[in-house]
Amino acid sequence: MLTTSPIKLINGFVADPSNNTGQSEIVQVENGGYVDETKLETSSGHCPESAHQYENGNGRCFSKESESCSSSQASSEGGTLEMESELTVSSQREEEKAETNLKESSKPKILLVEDNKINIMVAKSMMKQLGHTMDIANNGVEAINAINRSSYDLVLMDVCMPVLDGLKATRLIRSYEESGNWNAAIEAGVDKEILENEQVCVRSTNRLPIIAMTANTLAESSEECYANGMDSFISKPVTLQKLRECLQQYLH
Amino acid sequence: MDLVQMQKSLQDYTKSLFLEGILDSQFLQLQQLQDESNPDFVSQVVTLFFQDSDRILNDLSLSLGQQVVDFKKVDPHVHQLKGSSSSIGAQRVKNACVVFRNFCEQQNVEACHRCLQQVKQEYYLVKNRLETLFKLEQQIVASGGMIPAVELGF
Repeated sequence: MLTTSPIKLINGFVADPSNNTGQSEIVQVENGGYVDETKLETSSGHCPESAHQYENGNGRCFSKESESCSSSQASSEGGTLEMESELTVSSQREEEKAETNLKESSKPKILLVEDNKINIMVAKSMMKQLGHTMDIANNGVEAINAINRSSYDLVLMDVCMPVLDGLKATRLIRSYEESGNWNAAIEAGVDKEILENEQVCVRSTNRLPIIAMTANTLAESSEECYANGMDSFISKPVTLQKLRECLQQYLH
Repeated sequence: MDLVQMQKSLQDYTKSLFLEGILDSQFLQLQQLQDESNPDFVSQVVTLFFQDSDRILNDLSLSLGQQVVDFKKVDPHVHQLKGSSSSIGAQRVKNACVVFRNFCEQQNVEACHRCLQQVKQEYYLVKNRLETLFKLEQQIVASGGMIPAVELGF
């Protein structure tokens, strides 16, 4: 679908009020995402299959590209961008350190869970233009390990992934939030040792916003996303506008 | 050909790709991400897409060529190609993948063979066109010019 208004790219560069030279460090979650596959319920190992017919839900979705930016957009993004100083946490006790990280860390921690390299590259670049950095996980198991290790402010979760898909991973993360333990994940085959050895000391009591990135097929419908504990969804392909709206809504 | 002519050629060529439906607005998203700090972004992503797609198409040919086709192997490949082609705006490749996936679901081997041919055709087309586009851009830059603004008023 082509836009009806002319787009001017000056030397391939769009003049954008939010443009900045934000940092672009990306942390790759490297743990191989080991899982006992005999325990996993995945059928094709990739997409969850659904035999149900779902009605179109009225979701809080970010798929409408025609929506105009709110006037608060520039100021909220400006506020995030101006906080550039990294606080050094040196010789503090572990609990204090974790608490400091949670309270005083000014840069929002975002986790992108996606297996497609091209999608990762595009999303990273979009986030960079919006002034944010992201950690990357390539499947649901890596996502769970990442969330266990660090406190995230937002998770962008691809639905269809190998090893452990986004819907299942989200269910397990919600179970962890409710119960305070990863028993459900361990039962589902996620490596017990990694979870138990690398647990973060202070867990945030706030609900982690998890946004689905869905191709909007039947198996990835908005209803399916909400049923599995997602807060909202972005329909693919991901655009700058969709990400911007998502950040506005879920990052404070 | 002088610089202005080359720039006009590039603009016309780019427009034609959109008009023919080979590229869609997602490609514009990529161009918006290219700037002074990221001057080769589009060609980098597209190159990655080519590498990934070449591999996938090869795997698909192998999988579909088996005596007994394992659709649990075929479908994820098509899904991946659909995702990446969608992300870069290769509209016709993406559409061909959608059709392909439907036949995968039906486990229709013959139709899948046809789909693979169709996907390959669309892929080679967009690959060829984008390579031409990048060459035109390189010529302009080599002549000391800037890549012209993309204006789509339709």
